[in-house]
Amino acid sequence: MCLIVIPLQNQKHIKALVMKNFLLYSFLFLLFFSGSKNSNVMGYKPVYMSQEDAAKVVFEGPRDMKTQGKIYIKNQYVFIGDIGLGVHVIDNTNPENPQKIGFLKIYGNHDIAIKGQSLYADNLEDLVTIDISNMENPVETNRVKGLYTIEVKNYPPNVPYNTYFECVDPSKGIVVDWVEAELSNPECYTTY
Amino acid sequence: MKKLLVSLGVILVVVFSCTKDGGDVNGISSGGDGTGQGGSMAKFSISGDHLFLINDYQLKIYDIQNESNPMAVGTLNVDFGIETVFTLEDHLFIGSINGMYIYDISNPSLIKYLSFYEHITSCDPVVANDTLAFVTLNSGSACNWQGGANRLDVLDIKDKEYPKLLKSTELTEPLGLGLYEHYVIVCEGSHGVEIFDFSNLNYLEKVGGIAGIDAYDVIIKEDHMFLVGEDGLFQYDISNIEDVNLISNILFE
Repeated sequence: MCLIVIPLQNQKHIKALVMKNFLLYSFLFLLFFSGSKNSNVMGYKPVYMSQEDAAKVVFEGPRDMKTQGKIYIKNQYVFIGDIGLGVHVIDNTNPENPQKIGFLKIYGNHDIAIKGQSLYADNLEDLVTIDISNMENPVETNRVKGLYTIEVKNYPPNVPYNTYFECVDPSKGIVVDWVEAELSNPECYTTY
Repeated sequence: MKKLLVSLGVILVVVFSCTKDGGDVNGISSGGDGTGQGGSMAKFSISGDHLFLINDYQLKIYDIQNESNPMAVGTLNVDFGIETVFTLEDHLFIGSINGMYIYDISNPSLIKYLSFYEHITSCDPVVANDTLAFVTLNSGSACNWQGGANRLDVLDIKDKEYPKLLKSTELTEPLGLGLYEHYVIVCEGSHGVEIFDFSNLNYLEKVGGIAGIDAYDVIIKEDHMFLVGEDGLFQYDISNIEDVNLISNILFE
């Protein structure tokens, strides 16, 4: 029988609840899954990255929106956040026909602001300043470290409860994203 | 310029701080010193040569006179659960899950606390003009610890040390908001957009809206409204507020 790992939440005050859930799920698990050979299931897999790579701001081609975030406008550009991943860049020179021109990848990002050619953004724990005079070649000009406390994301956000996922192994780097994947014998699932 | 704006008072509804910097009025210019414009959900706000931002519980101030190298000016412990920051002229407003804070930022290296308007625990972005502040309260999943509320509060902020509640209107799922002339435009999540006339504060009259799309936040720039929500980016001509006109959309996949 496989081991159940309940990802613990950060907040201490819900530990009791987690414990309650633990008992409940242990019971349900035994009820439905005991004796069964776990096979492949759909779930989520963490995307790991080194600190160094997660701090790189790069411009890529347009992509689909994953989690819509905030909006910002500057000159002919409209920026729309994709929570935790970066900002979609739209050329709005002709508002009747705006064009998606690319994606500014900024891991851990929620907010931006722009003055002149400098774009300020939260990048995981840091405030980073990017020169966007050439949007396709963003250049970091400043980094203030350690402004933010990063919530340890050891489980996929915004998924239904009882969703399987591959347990996080911190030795592989920091988790910057989660992708859907077929998992074999996943040992973790969401309990909230 | 600043004096002029202040003297125009109520007539001129200055919605976002960057208006003060001149911004980029036509939206098409290849650069320059202009400052961009954010929505009401922002945790970053630029006012003049300073960048104000909030993290989990602090307000941080950076001097960005040299725009490529922000210099730390100060840090202020505010409260846990602070969510949005909005600047207008010499004032900074912070929306928190407990209420709204007002600070005097005329000297960014010596920020002065003016007041705190407390309300029921909810999420709440703020926008303001010289005399009125508009706060939406949302009891959504992240903000419903104590039941929360869903409403729009209009506050008299002529005296910024004593904000007074003037009017409260129950809403369904209020999120971001923006001001246009004497109208307040409120995003209502999956319930679209609602537009109220606040020229008579005894009676916030609903004069229009947008249905059938998800609405999270707006940016209003002259007669042009940018709206973002789960469905996509929508742009409207709002010169006829009772019947706003869709200019274009980009749908998210």
